[in-house]
Amino acid sequence: MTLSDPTLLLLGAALVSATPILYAALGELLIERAGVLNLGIEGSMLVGAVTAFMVAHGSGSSLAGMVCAILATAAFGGVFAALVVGLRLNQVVTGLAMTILGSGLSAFLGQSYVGLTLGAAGSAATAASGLYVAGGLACAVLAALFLRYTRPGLLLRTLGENPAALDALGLPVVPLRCLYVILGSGLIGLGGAFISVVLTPSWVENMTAGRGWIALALVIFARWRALWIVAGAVLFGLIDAYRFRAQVGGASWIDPHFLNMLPYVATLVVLGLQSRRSAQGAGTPTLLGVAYDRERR
Amino acid sequence: MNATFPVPPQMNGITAPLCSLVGVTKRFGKIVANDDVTFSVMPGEVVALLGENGAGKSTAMNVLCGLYLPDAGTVEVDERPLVLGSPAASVARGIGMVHQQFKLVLSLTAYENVSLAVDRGRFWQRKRPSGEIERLMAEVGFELDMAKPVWRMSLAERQQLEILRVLAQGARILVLDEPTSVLSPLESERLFMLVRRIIARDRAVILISHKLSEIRQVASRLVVMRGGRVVFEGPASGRTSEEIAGLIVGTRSVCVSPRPSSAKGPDRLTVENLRVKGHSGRDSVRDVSFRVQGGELVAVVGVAGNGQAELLDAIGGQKAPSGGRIVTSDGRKGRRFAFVPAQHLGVALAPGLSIEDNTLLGVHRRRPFSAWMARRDVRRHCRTVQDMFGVAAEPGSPIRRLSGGNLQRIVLGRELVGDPALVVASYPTRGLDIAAAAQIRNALIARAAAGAAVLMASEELEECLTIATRILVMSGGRVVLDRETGQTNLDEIGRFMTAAEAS
Repeated sequence: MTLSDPTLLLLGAALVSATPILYAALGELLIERAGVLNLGIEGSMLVGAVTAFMVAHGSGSSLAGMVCAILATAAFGGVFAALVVGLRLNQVVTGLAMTILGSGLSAFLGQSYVGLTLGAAGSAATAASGLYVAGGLACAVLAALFLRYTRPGLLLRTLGENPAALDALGLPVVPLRCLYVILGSGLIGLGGAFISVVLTPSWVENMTAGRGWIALALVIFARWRALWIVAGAVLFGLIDAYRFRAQVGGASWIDPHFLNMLPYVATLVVLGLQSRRSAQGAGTPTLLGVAYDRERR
Repeated sequence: MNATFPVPPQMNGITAPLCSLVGVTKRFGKIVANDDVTFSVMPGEVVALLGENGAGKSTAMNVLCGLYLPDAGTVEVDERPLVLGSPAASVARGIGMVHQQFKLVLSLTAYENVSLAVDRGRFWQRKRPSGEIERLMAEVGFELDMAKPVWRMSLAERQQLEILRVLAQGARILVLDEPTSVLSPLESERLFMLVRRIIARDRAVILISHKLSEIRQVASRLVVMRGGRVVFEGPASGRTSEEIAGLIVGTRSVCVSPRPSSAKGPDRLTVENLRVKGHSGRDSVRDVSFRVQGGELVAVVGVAGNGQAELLDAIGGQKAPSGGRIVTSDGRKGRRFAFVPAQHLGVALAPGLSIEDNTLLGVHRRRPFSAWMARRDVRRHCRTVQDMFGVAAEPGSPIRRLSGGNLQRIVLGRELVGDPALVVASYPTRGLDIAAAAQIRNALIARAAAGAAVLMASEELEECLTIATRILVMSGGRVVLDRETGQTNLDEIGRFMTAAEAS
């Protein structure tokens, strides 16, 4: 097998396509395991994407772009955490508002960058894409180990299952939830940054094109387990890569639009299968989406 | 974590209190849940904290364990002030509470739950308990499988796990909030033996309970609360249950009418080979058959989780049976008998609707109502329901503002309109204070005396022996004992309740 082997090329392309979704889904996993439903994921990715492009374009360093994207989305996530964990606003409504805010904000900030390219920084980032791909896989393995074998991981699982239990033991529920929303948002931002700096080094309005929603679906598909997220992301990456090749090649026996739809169909099927399981087996954090209020009676 | 705590200071041979609440006041909006609550707990004591629902017992205990921040007052442990509103501070000073709603994570194993409390500061999670936990288990006489996930444990095991966890945290003041409501008499007996062993080491236990017999059995001192205030504090010895009940309810009289005569009428309810599946997919009611005749008041008892709740849910139409038959005397079209589900808010009542609208639920198709709801008829109906048990509240106000006792009064009032010939009530007195419970019991007795068949589930054996004419004991989803009340006693019922556990 050589590097030009079409199968291998397709697999490589699949891994690259999978990476932004992988980062975003892992970020969402941390947030949801902490019991917070973050529907602002698409908005966070866009904030990450536009920040990364602006900084990389200005500084000429793609790495600086990535770091700033993480910081900016972490701050964006901090706002979300303050609203839903601190003020206990409705998580669904607030999350959707964050998505709309993120998409509007990124369009506003990025309007003078439309059509620009990154030049040398872009080609350097594309050359280093393997590092980011490996980084995503490493994050997934680390997340799995963290959840399973560490005490902070146990606390994270408990945050989504029964925060009142942690509180009664004198462990900090609200700070921990905020921490995971911010950390997870940073990872989501990295996923967005990967799109605008590595995948297609440019900025276009709404360029994440629904990858945030796919990541959200992936978390459910993976039943809140990190390694299954990798499997799901790669599966999606394969579909994406195949779709791209089919479009470029012009000939395809499956309509690319049909392929676009598949991840959502898979999610619905998984949800349907899940409904037949007992609550403990399904893996959904029991108190996902419920704000913790100590004195509520 | 398990640092050695200072020995309680001794003054002139008199032991100083382990902890004291001083002038604790806590308001929720306009409601004063605790008003200047002051009492102390000495080492080696079992203090029974008594009072009706809403008397402020749980609020006071939540202040003690740091979950509620009081508006005024202080708490002292070992005569030094405790930082208020911080569960971490309370835990560190040796206060441990076993809440009525267990604070366990169901999806985690028993050990992981204990570990949450004791393994602070480590990074890698241990899978197996340390020798310390094993020693503690041996000391208190528990035999728990620490690798078992909590959702597969019985309620009694979960309670042991909670107690173990609290002790492992180094608690010296153990608060037990209605600990026996999930236990069989034998298990309660074991719990009280444990309580005596715990206090033998200069620790103290605060026990919240509604069951006066157990209080007389185990408590050394009583603290009685009413309307958010401490109204009595004194030794428990030499007090009868009646005296204690009098302290709890104050001046109001509480008496339960005599049990209905056993003149039996026609069959009102026939259950044949009934099977009902529980949450886990296994049968929680297995092959149950019995009849209830007019004039009978039949009580279904058992340790929580042995199928009683599912049986009554199936009869009430809330769960579809997976086999067998339920025959009631009133035809097939809609339920025409009274049904009081175990949970009032959310099942029997819609929390967001007004009292008026709630009194219409289920009867909105009966006369005089039709597709058009005449305001006058609705008002009159609501007044009838409210007057049944004397609930004084504005008909248009949201029902969730009512107290637990009043909610149950509304449910039962609504269901008893039109004098149904069959009444099915699932735990109708659970969580109610003495006065409300007595009123509900009297209503059920009155229905039976008027010739209706009454079937109720209850977790209070003494209640059943007082008011029921017949007792069904369930264990492992089967009816293991079916006796007229006169032909059985507490010991026998207790034996049958725990019978299946051995097999």
